[in-house]
Amino acid sequence: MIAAAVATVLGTALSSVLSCLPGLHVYNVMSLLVMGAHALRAQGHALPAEVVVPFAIGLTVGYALLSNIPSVLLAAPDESALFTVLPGQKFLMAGRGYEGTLITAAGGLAGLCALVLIVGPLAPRLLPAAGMVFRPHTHWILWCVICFMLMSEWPKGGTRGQAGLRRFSDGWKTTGMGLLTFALSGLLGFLLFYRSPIPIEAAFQNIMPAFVGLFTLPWLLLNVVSRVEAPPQCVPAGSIGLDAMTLLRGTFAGCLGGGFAAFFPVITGGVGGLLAGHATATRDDRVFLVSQGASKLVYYVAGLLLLFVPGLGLTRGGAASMLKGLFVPRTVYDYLLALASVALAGATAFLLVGPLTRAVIGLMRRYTYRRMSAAALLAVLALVFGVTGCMGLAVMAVAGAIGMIPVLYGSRRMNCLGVILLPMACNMSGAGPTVARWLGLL
Amino acid sequence: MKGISHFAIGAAAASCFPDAVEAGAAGNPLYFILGGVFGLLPDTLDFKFTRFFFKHDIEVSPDPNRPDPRAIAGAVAHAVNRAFETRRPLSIKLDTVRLGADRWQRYEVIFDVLRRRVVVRYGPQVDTGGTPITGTGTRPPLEAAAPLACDVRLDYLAVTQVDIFDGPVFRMTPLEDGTVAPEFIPWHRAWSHSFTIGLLCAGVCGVIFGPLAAMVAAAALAGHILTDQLGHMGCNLFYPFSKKRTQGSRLMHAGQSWPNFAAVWISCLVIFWNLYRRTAGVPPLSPIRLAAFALGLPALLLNLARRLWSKVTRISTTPGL
Amino acid sequence: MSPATATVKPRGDFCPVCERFIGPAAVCPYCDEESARSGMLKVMRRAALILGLAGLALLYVAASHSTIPVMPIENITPMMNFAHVRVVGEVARRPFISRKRGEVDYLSFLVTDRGNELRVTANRDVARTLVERKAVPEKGAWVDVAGTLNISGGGRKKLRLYTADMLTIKGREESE
Repeated sequence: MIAAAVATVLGTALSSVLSCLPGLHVYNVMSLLVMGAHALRAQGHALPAEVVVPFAIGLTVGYALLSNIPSVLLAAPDESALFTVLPGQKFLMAGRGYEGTLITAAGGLAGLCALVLIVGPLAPRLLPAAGMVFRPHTHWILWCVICFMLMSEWPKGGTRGQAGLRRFSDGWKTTGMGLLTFALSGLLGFLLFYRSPIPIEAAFQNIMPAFVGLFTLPWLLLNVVSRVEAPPQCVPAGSIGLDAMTLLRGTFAGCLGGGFAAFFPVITGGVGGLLAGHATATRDDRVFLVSQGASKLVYYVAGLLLLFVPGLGLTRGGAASMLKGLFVPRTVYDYLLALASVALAGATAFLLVGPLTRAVIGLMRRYTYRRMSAAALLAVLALVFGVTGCMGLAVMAVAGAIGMIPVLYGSRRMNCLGVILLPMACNMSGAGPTVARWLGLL
Repeated sequence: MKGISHFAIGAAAASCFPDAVEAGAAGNPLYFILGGVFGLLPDTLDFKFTRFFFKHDIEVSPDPNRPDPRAIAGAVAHAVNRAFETRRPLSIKLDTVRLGADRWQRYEVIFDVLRRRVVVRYGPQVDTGGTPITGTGTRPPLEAAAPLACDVRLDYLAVTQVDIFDGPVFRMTPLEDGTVAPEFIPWHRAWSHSFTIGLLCAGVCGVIFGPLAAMVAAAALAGHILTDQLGHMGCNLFYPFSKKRTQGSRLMHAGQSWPNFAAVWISCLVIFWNLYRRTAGVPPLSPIRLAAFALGLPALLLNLARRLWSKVTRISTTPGL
Repeated sequence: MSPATATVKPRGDFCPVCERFIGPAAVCPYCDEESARSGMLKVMRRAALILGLAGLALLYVAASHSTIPVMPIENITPMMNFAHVRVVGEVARRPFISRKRGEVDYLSFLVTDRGNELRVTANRDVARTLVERKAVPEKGAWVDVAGTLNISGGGRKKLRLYTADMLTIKGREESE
């Protein structure tokens, strides 16, 4: 018990600090640790499950709560925070980045409470049956999500001038580029899935360079080349003024979105957030930030917890996938240990939000926005090279070029998720190998 | 209704066909994709295609640096009066006023039917979510009125807010009784939201994908049209046999949160129920129990929370407490 | 001075001539003048498109011309999860075929290579194709099979066959 608690706190503390680095994803850190654990096991020094599981949960929860700091303060979102940038940037540019971060973290904590206190006890009773019902239908649910995602991007331009082809092409520029982004990233996904150029020794991180290129690289690059500087950030002495209704509304939307993304395969937190945002018509910036905090936490943590639910055993998300290689949960004890670790990790991480946010703001005062982004860029390049080598860097560069298209044309960056959505949807419908054959990959 | 509501209703319509559910379970996603796509198709056709080709006669592009409500009011009144004089429809487009990446100048166009005039009032600046930005807007608000030469018969709402993205088009249509009707965004819910065109689209779908696909497409399209009829604008239900939109039942506004969320939630429950019925080996569940726990209980809890919240805010704003 | 005017300042987002906000537009929709950063933006846009398309094409050429490595089963590690490899070995037991509503739904067989085992699986369409072609390897057959590795908890290794053409049944002499 004590070992489990200590492992939880250590994992949380480690990921909380590392999460403040922009562009560093918990799955990157976890992959390095998993590699180390496998190496130890190969030498006959296997780590006990009571240490591995709580540590991994601590890493995940810490990241889910604390990665909102760079999302708001340094605008380097991962694929599940594609919306936080805009409202979070508003707070940042108004010198209220601290407030924005805490509002997002409050949403995360509320989501965690909902997960542990409401979903946790009900999950073993409800989710196995729901899993049985939805299992043969997850493929068309994924296709419907893709169709909605593509159809719901409205043309942004073409608002002025007389009707005709000129207005039509002006309006469709952004939408067209969004569709192109989806197609190109989907093609990249097929390449990585069927004939990945990543060395096979690092194949379990096949998709990592692509994700870094599609999502992290464009933002860091733009931060470095643009002349935008964040204004000085103030740390309010008193309350951040978050009322109960805003917290409830945001948490409700976030839990729905994050829960949907966690339960159904391939759908990420960003997509879940999009669907929940549309379904609940979220407009207010504060509600939005709360919902994104809740969505992100529920997506990452519930995704991992699904592995432990007795009678379900779903592998969702990178953390569960990597953890499953080391440990397979089987009993109710494993589930309860996981829930307890989530609760402890959440409390620990939330206590660290304030101090770490202030620390990052302090760093921002000493070093410019651009310098911090440049440092993060170098760190990310080193990580990709260290894990996947030169081919990983090549994949990252191509993905980075594709990821720049929506940023430069003003279309949704979520379309970059085609890298996993398209090949997985095709595979789940049984058409993946056929498409791969048409493409000459098989 | 918002796009996600229509999409979810379309997918739910598809789930009502047992053969579509069987096909889905066997790995064929076609019918559910068709349900969702056809559920959203009418609005897609309007907002992504039709509106770029609808010609207008006058375009009003307010200067963001020099707000002039009088010019806007004058232009709208001119359009109404011209339509009245020439007995021919005249379209006027009102552009939005963008001030920054996330900042727009809101203005309202008010058809003051009783006093036979059009009023334009500048409101606060808003963000892209439509939320007013505190500290913006003038007190009293910038306002101007322009007289109308005839009576106006409202087609939609008397007050139209022009703020974000694309501005509206009004088609001033002279009526037989001598009035002029300002048709709000006449290109929307016209031919695309008719049962006749819907049947035609479903027919084409059927020729390509088979009779089940046609039925799914028809059901999804009908769902879209019927839910839109719950609002104010209505649809041109039998184009080309009918010429005008049939007014809606005014039970809700398209952008309201609760009706949209309720539509999505109920659609998800319908889908779940239809899938559940065709799944072997699941624990027994009656539709009444599902409705009670998944619909009734959340509705009750949310209603209680709302009442509690309004009581708390009323107490806290009562002077002396 | 109106509130709107107070927010307008000549910058890259604003037209250099009429000073109205135009965002990333290359041409001002009010006065048809080119924006201050239209040149740079055009270059970046074209560069992103060209690099993305060309890079993807190069990756595709490299990938489609690469050979799938032959991997001894004993060398397979958990880090190779999702790797595309070739395995050569002997079928250790009779293949398992499952049917759903009378149709072949799943197929698997065990391949051994110097005492190490790997389960090869095929779903639905691939399994049906193998059965129809009578290409399901029997116990004792030597196979050359390529697919994607799946390594789950406890070190269980599986190779997923994506197309029937990736399975070749060889004579023992051929394989040695």
